[in-house]
Amino acid sequence: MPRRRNSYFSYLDQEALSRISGEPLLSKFSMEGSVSGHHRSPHKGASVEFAEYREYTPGEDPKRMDWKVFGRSDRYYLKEFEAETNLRCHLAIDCSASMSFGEPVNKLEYAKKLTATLAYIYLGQGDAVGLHTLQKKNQKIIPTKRNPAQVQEILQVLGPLKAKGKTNLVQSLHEIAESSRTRAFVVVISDFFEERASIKNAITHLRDRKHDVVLFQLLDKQEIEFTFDRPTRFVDLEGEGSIITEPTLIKEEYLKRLEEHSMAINEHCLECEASFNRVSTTQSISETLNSFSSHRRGISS
Amino acid sequence: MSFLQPIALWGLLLALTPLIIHLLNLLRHRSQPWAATRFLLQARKSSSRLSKIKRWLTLLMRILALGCLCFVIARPMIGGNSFLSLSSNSPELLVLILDRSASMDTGANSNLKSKRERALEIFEQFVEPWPESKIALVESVYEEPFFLSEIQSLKDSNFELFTGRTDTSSSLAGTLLKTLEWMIKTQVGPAEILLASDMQRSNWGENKSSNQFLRIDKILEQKKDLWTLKVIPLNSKSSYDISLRVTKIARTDESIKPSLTLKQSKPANPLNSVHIQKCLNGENENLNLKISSDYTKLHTTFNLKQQPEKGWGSIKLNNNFNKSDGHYYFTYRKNSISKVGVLTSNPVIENVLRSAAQNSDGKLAELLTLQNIDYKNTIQKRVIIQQGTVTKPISDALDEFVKQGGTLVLFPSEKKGSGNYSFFNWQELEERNEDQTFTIQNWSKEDGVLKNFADGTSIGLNYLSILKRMIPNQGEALAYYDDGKAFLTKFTHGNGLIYAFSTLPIDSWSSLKDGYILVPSIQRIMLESTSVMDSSNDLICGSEETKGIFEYNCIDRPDEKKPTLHAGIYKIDGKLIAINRPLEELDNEIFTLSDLNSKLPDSPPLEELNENETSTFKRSEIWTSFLYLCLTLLLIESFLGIPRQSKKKQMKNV
Repeated sequence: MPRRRNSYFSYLDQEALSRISGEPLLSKFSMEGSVSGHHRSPHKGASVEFAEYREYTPGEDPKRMDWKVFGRSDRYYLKEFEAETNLRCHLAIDCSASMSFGEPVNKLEYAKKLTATLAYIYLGQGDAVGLHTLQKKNQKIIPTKRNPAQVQEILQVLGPLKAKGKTNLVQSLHEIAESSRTRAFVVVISDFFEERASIKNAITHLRDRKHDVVLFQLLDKQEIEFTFDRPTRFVDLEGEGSIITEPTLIKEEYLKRLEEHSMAINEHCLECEASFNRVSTTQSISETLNSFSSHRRGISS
Repeated sequence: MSFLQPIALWGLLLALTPLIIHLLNLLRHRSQPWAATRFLLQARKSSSRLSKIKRWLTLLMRILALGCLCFVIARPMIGGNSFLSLSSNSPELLVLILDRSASMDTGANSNLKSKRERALEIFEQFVEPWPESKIALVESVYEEPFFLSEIQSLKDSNFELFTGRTDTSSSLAGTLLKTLEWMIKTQVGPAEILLASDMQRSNWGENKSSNQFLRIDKILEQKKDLWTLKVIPLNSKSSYDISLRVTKIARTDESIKPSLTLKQSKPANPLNSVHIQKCLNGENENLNLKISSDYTKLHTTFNLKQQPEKGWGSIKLNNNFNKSDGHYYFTYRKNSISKVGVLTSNPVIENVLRSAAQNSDGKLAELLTLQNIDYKNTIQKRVIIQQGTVTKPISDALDEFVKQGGTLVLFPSEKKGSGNYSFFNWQELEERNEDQTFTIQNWSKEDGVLKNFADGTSIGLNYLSILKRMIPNQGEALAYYDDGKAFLTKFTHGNGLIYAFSTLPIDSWSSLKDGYILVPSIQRIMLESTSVMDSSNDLICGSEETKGIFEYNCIDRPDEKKPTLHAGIYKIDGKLIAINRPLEELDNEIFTLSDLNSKLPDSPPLEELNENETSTFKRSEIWTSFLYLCLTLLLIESFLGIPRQSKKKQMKNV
């Protein structure tokens, strides 16, 4: 659905922004940011949040010594506080032809909205946000920046983006894992119609690099329900040929296979502490992000 | 296996509908872009085999269910006992076709019961094993099938009208055909048909009924698995009987002289004499006449002197086994000999025609004028010979006369354009000279008014010399000119007859006035008109004419009430009518079973019913089996259509 340049801001879902922006979206893991932020840091810092008491070692700064504890116990203790920092958020959006499926909104359009809204939210809470378009040709990468004008740049890339060609999902995820030297927050938005094992490998690779990984699997209603009732020729959007079949004959097995695929990815994510979200494009962005946010905070949606 | 409604088997083509719809749907697939093709491929690989089997099984169940439904509607039958026959083996209908001709009342075998009564008894025994079957009776007089609520109804006196004795003949081929057509119309299923007849050849009308036999043959061949036709053997081999036949009646104004023929059937001990009762207007006279051989010809005379103008008479054989084959009835009317009038304005023609039409006493025919044509009373004037100018009153009067039953003999008018009637006309006048006269070569020599004389000599039409002629436009030609045109025509008009000559009995026209043709032909017309009128008072029992009579009063036999069924003298609308049994009922020739089978070559051979045979029926309907099968198939189809429950719970959005 092409949009005019000046209307790319409509990719920002106002309802989701008004609903989510009150509370920060936090990473599950501590992040190594360059500046102060809302996320936990592996280092101790000067925040107001108490972390622990630690015995003083000669040579350390005596200013951080807790004299009240010395008065009570005649022992030298240092009072340590949590350091809070920002994160680097890599938003990876799948632009393969399979993402062009869906009515009334195709998966790519939904993914654009979700990406733009997430970018706005994370930039708003002081995090650095970058963009990766996952496709074979003309892959575009916007490095992470904290600058609020980054939204504009991301929207300029998302706007004209079209779903075409084969996916480059797995390879791109490996590249993201490798390219980011410090811990990052990696959001992957795709339908994940790829080899299950390679996806798992990519997730494992990202997690090995200490990245907080969040997967959004976008599926259209027809893909979930498979409501065809007469013989149909299914033409593969990524040029893998076509098959004529009686949908009622294979519906059960198809749904089973799709379920198995999603379940397998989900189980793997649970194993390696990644986050998996299956999203129907009929859901609003607001609902999707609300569910994601709640889950992040440990509240069941 | 056979079917009561085989046309329903065309429905089997419809049974293929599910398959056709399935194939059409495959052909009419739509195209759908798809992202998750890998799962479709995986699903098709793993599930297609089972699903395909399931799918084809479902289709098969549907096809078989529809097929079974067609079979249910077609009402299949099987022979013998089978596991498929869930219902009892009994025919749906038992039909008795009863020959009620007069010959059925001659003694059967040596007992006193008639063949008709014996037939009813046999049928009663025959239906006993099947109390659930419907019973129908078709008798040969009315030929109307009707159902009997119970077999005992046959003994009911109210049923005497349909089972009692008659003096009729029968047309068994017609009755049988009507019965079969009625059974087809009412869609009768398995049925047993019994034909009870003495198989008198005359009752089968072999030549007249060839079309009926063809139709019967076709129907029996079509229904051979459903209907069985059997003949109850009733023809007696040693019955004794004397029958009376009146072969000829000579009539004068004062007497009636019937010629009688007595025939003795199978005379083991032939009689030497018979008692005959003559009856004239209720006065009986007994005669004892000697007879000598199988056939005896006798003459007797009824004297009409001192008898009323109109009356009746009968001749009865007293010592006779059969109640009615020794009876003969007649009516008479004195002075009923034809009266002829001549209507012409030409004196020469008048003389010739009046002379030709003189009566047996030598009295010339009466000369008529328009005023004295009593066209309403054809008894007074039986024949009118007309020639000359035709005015409208004459035309109308003659028209009415003929319609009332009179006979009209027409000659052309010698004046051009003056001889056309409202009901008849002539062609233009044709003339030839004396060297090339019109001649006649062909005419009907076997019968009619131009037939040969009793000694075989021809009437001599070929000697006739004709100079002028006007060909009649209407009627059947009785004689032809050389050029194929009609010399004399005959046609019916209303109740009467019209003869039209094409030439005049005057010298300028023809040599017809010589008389050797004119006199015999006019006399024959007079005789014919007389006999027609006399015989109008005699009817044949059971004929169509008698079936239309409702108001009557039997004079000689008060116990007999129906002119349709019983011979006798009846007074109908004040007029005496003699009703006699059909002469063919006296024929003893038997139409054997092999004769009948030869007439029905395609149908299964007919057999006689064995009197001890009570349970011949070996067929049953099996549509119920197919109904159960159909329901079972539909249940299986429904079962196959139930979706399998997935064991794993579907994953919800996390």
